[in-house]
Amino acid sequence: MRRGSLIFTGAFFLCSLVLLKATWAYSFKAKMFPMITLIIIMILLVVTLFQEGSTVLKTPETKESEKFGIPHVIVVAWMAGTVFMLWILGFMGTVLLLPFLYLRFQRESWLVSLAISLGCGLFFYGVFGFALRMPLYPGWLLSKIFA
Amino acid sequence: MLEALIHGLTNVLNPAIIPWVLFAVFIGLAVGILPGLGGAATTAILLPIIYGMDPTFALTFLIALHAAVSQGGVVTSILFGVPGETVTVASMLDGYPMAKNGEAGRALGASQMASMVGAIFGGIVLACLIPIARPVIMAFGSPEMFMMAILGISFVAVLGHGSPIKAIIAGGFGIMLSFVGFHSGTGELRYTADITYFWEGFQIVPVFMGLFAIPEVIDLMLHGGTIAKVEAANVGWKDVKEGCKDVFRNWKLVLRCSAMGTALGLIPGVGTNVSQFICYGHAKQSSKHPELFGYGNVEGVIGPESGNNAKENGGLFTALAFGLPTGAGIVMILAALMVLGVKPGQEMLTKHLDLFWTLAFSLILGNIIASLGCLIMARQLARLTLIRGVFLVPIIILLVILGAYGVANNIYDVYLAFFFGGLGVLMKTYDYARVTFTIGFVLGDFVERYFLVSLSSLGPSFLLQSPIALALLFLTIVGLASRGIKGLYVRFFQRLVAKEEEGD
Repeated sequence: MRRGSLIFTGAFFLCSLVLLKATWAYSFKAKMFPMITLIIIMILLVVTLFQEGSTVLKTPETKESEKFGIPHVIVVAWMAGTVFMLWILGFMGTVLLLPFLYLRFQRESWLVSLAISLGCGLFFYGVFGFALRMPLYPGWLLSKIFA
Repeated sequence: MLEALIHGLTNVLNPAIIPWVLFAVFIGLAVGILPGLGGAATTAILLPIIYGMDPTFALTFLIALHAAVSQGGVVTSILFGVPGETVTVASMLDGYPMAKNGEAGRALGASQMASMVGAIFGGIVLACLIPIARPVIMAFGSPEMFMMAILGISFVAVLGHGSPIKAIIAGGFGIMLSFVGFHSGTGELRYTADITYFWEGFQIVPVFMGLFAIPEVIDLMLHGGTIAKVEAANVGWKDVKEGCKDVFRNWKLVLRCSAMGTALGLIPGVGTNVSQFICYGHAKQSSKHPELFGYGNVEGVIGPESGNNAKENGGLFTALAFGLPTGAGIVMILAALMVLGVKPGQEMLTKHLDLFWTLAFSLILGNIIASLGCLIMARQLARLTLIRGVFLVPIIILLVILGAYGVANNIYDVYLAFFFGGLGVLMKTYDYARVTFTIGFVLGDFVERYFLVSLSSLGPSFLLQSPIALALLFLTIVGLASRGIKGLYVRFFQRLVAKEEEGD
């Protein structure tokens, strides 16, 4: 956990270095405020890195695997899968498929899974697509088919 | 003036207008509860409906709708941790933890009652303001606006829980994020990495949805159960009533935040995003239990909610009296005024004072009806927190997708929300305060813009030239110092007690 925090703080520090490099290229007016902010951030990040680094060295690390395990990998996979599904199938495809797949994955009955996903489809399309005429994202597949 | 005031009140209480107000409140609540479709967008969609309508009817309808949107927005913010509207993000910070603690009914009761009191208070202030408003508004130039934003930023130091250094770092990164896109002073593009999507900067809704809603969804996926994490979740009338009583127990906070909200609403350019966080920060700073903020302190709901609704009154005043819009929703109201052939400006305070009062009363009435509607439904709404997470997870994800997409109908906003979702999870895990990050994000560009304008128009000594800016600077310093002094004072007495215990 402490090691994870140290790595995250380190990533923030690297990020601020990249931002600092980008800031140099701007005109004085455009870089003055970001520069002040970045310098303050970097000083505080160095302090935090030292604090966390010394804690990691002094105390033995607890089992990080207890904190991050297979359930976390599954959740990340679901999130990535949702984004991919949205890109490929668009909003309505995701509205119908995501609840169904997730409920089946959680071992809900076929009937409940189907009913909820159809209910979601009807509700979201009815309110946003039909009543409010919001241009819902069609997705890559549908765009290719109707292109 | 009294005659116009009575005329305005009679207009709003006209039996023919009441059904329109009820209809507007119903639409407003629905729009508010569903993320993705903001009040401004709905008003824009409904603008064609009002063509040819009587101006009083049409404007009352739109203003009541505008009032109800934020009331509805707070429902999703509290129950699911998904901000229904950007104006309800601050209320979510403590409202959602309250729902998780099984206090959804209390949180909803407190939020709706605070909104109602805030709206009424704002209306009263509005009435008193008419004779003196013009010099007050005109006194706010760029140095005052700059100091106002600095006052807001200073809350970064007190708002995070856990490590204060990490809270400030998070706030700093939030400020850096607000710089992405065109620089308002020079027109230069900053931090865009040659990607066109970044030119306009980041939208608030996808960033907030990602930072706050996605980590909660992930939490629900990992741990299952229900949103309310306690076995006996309090969703009865008693709890809703308890929330309402909380508002009166904290009446001083309600009055202070309502006054702050109204004052901030009067000033064009201070968005609701800014005012809700200033009220939240003030609620924490003045609380006897600031350590409970972020974990479900009812004051964290009452403060921003009373400020939010009072702000609308201030915003309406500036829009009607000077034609200056103070927010997206008000822009649409101004557009409606023009569509109906009513010119905002000084004439609203002289020739059309009755219409001015009609609109002010519509706003108050809209807020009252929306609050009462939510209070009546609060018990049923609070029961949603007892639905199994398995059913809520896909629905909340879909609401997040729609909420992020609906801002600009841009699919990249949804990807952005998921990116910030990942960042939000890491920040939550490693104790980097997401609240201070969002405050920095909202106020960063604002501070820079007004600093540069003040510098170029008044020179480096711009602060010394404005008594109001100096007063605000004094308030900022006192606010920060009081926190430090309070900390020293508490530590001193803790040590004293510890020594006495050792002596015993």
